[in-house]
Amino acid sequence: MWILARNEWSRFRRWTTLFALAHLMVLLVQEISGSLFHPASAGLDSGLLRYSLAMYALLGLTLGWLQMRGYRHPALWVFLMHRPLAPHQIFLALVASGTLVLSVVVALPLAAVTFVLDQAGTRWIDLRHYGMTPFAFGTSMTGYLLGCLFALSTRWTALAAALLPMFFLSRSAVGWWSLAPLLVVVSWLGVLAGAQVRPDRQSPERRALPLALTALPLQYALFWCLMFAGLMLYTARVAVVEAGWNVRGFAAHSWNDYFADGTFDRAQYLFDGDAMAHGLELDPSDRSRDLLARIDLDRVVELVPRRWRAPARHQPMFLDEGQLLEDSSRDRHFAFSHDLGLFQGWSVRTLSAVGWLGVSGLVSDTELTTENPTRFEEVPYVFENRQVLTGRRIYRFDSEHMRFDLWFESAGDERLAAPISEHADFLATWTDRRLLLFLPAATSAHRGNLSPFASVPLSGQLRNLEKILVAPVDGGFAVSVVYGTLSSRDLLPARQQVFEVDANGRADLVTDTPLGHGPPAWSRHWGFIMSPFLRSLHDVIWTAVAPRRSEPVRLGDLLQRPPPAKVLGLAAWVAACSAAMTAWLVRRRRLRGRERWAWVLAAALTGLPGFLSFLFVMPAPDRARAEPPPPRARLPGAADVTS
Amino acid sequence: MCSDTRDTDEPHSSSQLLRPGEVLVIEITPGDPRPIFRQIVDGLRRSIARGALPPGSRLPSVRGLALQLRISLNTVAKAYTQLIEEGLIESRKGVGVFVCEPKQRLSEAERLRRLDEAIESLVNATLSLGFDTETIVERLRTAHAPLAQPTPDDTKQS
Amino acid sequence: MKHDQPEADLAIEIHGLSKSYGAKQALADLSLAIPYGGIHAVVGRNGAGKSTLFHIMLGFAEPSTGSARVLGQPSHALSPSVRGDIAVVNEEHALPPWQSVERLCALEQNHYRGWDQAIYERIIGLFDLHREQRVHQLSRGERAGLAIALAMAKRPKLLVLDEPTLGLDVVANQAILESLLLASTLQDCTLVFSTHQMNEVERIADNLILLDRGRLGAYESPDSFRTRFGAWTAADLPIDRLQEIEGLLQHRMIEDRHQLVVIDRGPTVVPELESMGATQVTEDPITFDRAVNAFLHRRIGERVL
Repeated sequence: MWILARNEWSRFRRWTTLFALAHLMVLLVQEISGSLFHPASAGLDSGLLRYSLAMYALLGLTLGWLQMRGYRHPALWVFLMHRPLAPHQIFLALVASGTLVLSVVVALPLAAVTFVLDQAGTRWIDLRHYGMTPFAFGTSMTGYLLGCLFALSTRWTALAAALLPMFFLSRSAVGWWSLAPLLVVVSWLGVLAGAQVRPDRQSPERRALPLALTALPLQYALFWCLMFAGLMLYTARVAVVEAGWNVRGFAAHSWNDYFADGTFDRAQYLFDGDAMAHGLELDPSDRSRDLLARIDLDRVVELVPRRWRAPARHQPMFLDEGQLLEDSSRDRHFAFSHDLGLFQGWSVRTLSAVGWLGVSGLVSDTELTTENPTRFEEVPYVFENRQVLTGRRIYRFDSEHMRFDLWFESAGDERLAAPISEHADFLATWTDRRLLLFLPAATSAHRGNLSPFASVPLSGQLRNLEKILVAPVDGGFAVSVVYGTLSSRDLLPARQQVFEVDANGRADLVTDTPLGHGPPAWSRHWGFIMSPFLRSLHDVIWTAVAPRRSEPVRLGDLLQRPPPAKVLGLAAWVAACSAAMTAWLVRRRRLRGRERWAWVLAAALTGLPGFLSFLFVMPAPDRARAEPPPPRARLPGAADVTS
Repeated sequence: MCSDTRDTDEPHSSSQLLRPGEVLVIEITPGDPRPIFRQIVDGLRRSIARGALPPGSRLPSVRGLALQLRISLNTVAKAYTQLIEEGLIESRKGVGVFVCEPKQRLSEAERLRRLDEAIESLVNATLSLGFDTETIVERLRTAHAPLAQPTPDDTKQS
Repeated sequence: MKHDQPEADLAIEIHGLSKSYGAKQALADLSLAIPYGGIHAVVGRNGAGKSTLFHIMLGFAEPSTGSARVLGQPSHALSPSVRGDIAVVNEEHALPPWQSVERLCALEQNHYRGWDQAIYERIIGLFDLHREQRVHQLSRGERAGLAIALAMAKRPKLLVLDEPTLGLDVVANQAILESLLLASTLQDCTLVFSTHQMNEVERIADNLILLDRGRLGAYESPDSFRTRFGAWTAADLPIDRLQEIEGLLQHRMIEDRHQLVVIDRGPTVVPELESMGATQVTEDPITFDRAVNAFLHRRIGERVL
C-alpha cells in the first residue's frame, strides 16, 4: 500500500518542490511588504487572508483533480483498482500522497515563516497566527478532497454534496473550535471521495454511510432550489400585480406600495419619516395623532442596527474586522494581539516596532520589561478608528495623545450592541435591553463616563430588531422601534412601537401595534410545506454554526410557534405524496427490501427534496431493450452452441 | 518457469529437439485450408515416409512440439492421437513418443476403400480442370514416387 | 493466496449476463463456463461486447441482469487475494503515462507475492526499454511489451488480455504468443484473451468464444468450429429460393457462379442444391477466418460482378 503512496508522491515530487518554494517566496514578499499577519490597512484586514485561503483551497482542488483524473480512463482505472489491495487501502494510499504534497506545499512554508517571525521578528506572534497553519492546511485538504470527488464522481450530484461543507466552512466558529467544522468537512468529504474509489464507479452507491452523506446535502441543495422556486413564484405574482397597476395608472409604483399598511413588510420598506408616520397612523388614538402632528418628519433619523460582529478571542484571522488602529499622522499602525490584550504598534514605513497600546495608553518599551500598560479585558472592536468598543465600555481613541478616553460604560451585565452614532440632535447607542440617547451639548464638553439623557426600553429581542427611528419633539424625542418576524416564519412577533421622550428624558409608550404579514401564508411557509424537517434543520444548523449571527433561531422558537394548522396539513400531504411516489419508484430499482423501506421513510421525513434526491441518487436502471436477435434464419444446432 | 531453458518435469524441452540431424520440418501455414492438426499429421507422416524420422527415433513431447510450433497443446495432442491410431507412432509411458516400426494395421479391404476414397476426391477435384488422364497419372507418379518406397517387408505383407 | 475452489471447478462462470448502455445492448443473455486451464480466445467484431465482458468479469461494471463468478468469487465482490491471482492486460496496453518503467515494476513487484523477476526480465529483454523511461515516452509496441511483462511476471491463475498483440512487430508478436503458450502449458494459467487475429486463435487457442452482437455465437475449439462450415460453388442456383437453404450464412454471385457458405450441413447440402436446379456443385476448402467471417457477417444475395 505504501509503495503506491510513494509512487504517487514521486509523481508530484518535482511540482511539490516548485510550489513549496513559490509559496515561501510569496510569504516572504508579504512579510517584507508588511502585509503578512499584520495587514497594512483596516480595509485589508481579512481580505488578503481570505484570498490566500481561497488560493490554498484552489491549490488543493487542482491537485486532487489532477491526481484522480489521471486514473479516470477506464483502462487506467482497472490498472489502479485491480490489485491485491482493498479499495479503501488504495484510496488511503492516494490521499496519503496528496496529504504529504499539501503539507509540504502549504503547511511547511507557513509554519516555518510563522516560527521564524516569532523567534526573530520584532512583531508579536499570537497563538492564532500559528493557528493559521492548520487552518490553511485544512482548507487546502478540503479543496483536495473536493477535487478528488469532482474528478472521480460520475454524477453531478457530487457538486450538490459539496455544498454543505462549503456552508459549514463559511461559518464563524471561534478559537480552536474553528478547526472543528474544518475537521467535520474534511471527514465528510473524505467519506464521499473514498466511496468513489471502488472498481465499479458507474453503478449507484448502495452503502448506507456514503449514501446518507451524499443524499443529505443533496436534499439540502434541492431544498434551496425549491425555496428559490417558491420565491420566483411569489415574485412573478407580485410582478404581475405591479404591472397591472402600472398599466392602469401609468405610474411607477415602488415596491413598498405593494404591501398594505400595518404589515411588517410595509414598515420595512418605508424610510425615515414615512416609517415613523406609519407607526403612529396605525393607532387611531388622539395621542398618537397629536404626536404625529408635532413631529417634523423631515428630521426623523433612522438607526439601522448595524449588524457588527463582536470579535471573539482567538478567532480565525480571516474573520478579523476592527482589529487595527491607524495613526496616519505618524504612519503607525496598531494591531490587536489576542494573546496579550494590547495593541502592538509598528511603523508602516520602516516596519519596526514602536511599542504597545493598552487602555492606559502607549508604552514605548517594545519588550514590555519596564512598563506594563493596562490590558483590554475583552477583544475590542475598532469603529471608524475613533471608537473602541468592548462588551461594556466604549472608548474614544485620541490619536493625537495616543490614549483611550472612556466614553460610556454600561451598568451591570448589560452588553453594548452598537457604537455611539452621532447626529445633529442627539447621540445614540443601544444595549441588549435599551436604547440610550445623549444630548450633543452634554457630550462635547464632557470627558469620562457619559450619562444618558434618556433610555428607551427595547422590550423585544435584539435579534429581530429591525430599525429604530428617532425625531426631536419639543425638547424631547419621538422614538419608534420596529421588530421583525425573524426568519419570515413568524417565530417572533413583529410589531412597531412608538415612544415619546419628554424634556426630562422620561420615555412613555404611545403605541404598540402588532404588524401583519405582507406575503401570503403559502409563500412564507413555502419551505416548511416542501419539507418541515429540512426547514427546521436549516434553522437549527444555521444557529448552531453561527451562534453570533444577527437572527439566530432557537429550537425553542421553533417549538413555541408552530405554523398554522393549514400549513401543517399541507406539509403532511406533500410528505405523504413524496413517500408514495418514492414507494412507487423503488419497486423499479434493484434494491433490497430494507433499502426500499429506508428510502420511503426518508422521503416521508424530508418531503419533496427526499423524493427528488432519490431520483438523482438512484437513477433508473439501464433499460435492457430487447434487440432482435441477429438474423440466423434457420440454424441447425444454433441453440446448443454452449454445450 | 516461463523460460524454456528452465527445469521442467518434461524430459524433452524444445531446445533439445532442435539438435542437428533431428530437425523436424513441419510448417504451419496461416491460411492453409487444412486444420493445423491436419498439417501436423501430414507433416509428420511425410517425414516418417521420407525416412527423415527413422523407426525408433524419438519425437518431441506434446508440450515441446506445441511450444516449438507455437500452437495449442490440444492441437498437438490431437495430431499425435491420430498418428498413434494410424500406427505410425507410439507413446511409451514415462519415456516419450517414438516412431513405430512400419507395419500395416489396416486390413486390405480398408486400405482399398481409403484408396478409392482418395482417388474419388482427386477425380472430383480435377475433373473440371480439363486435364487428360495421362497428364494426371504422370503428375501423380512424380509426386508419389519419392514418398512411396515399399520395403521388402511391405511387399511381403501385401 | 489460497482460496476456495468452486464446486464446479470453473475458472469463470457466467450466467444469463446482460448489459446495456442506455439503449445499446452490449451483452445479451450470455452464459459461459470456462474451466481451469487452457487458452480461451474471445472473438467478435468491434463492439461485440468483448471489453464489456472483461469489465464485468473483473467487477468494473455492473451487469444489467445475470451474474458472473471468477475463480469462485462473485465478480462484483472480488477479494484482494483473488485479485492477486488475476492479471490483466488492458485495452491498448494502457499504463499510467507518468510512471517510469522502474517504478511500475517496483509497484507490481511489491503488490504481487508470486512475482517472478526472471519472467519479467525475459519479456522486457525483447524490447529496447530503459528503466528510467516513462510510459508516455514508450512506443506502442514497447508499452505493449511492458504491460505483458508486468502481467506475466505476476504468475497469475487467470490472465485476462484485451487484444494483447495489437500493434506489435513480428518479433514481439511471436515472442508474446510463445510466452502465453508457456504460461498456459507450464504454469497451469487460465488464459482469456480477445483478438482480431484469426491465425492466432487457430494456432494457440484451445477454445473459441465467439461473441456475436453481445450474444454467444460459439464456444468450442477452433478446429471443431471450422469443421461445421462448408463452402460450395454452384451454378444455376435460383436466387429466390436461397432463403430455403438451411444453414446458409453467406451467398454471393460472381458472374454466374454462386459461392455459398453453410453451417452444420456437411455434404447433405449438395442434393438440396441440386434439387433446386443447381449444377456443377463443388466444395471449396474453407479457412478458419473465412468460417468466422461467415458466422459474424451474414449476407445473402450479394452480387459482386
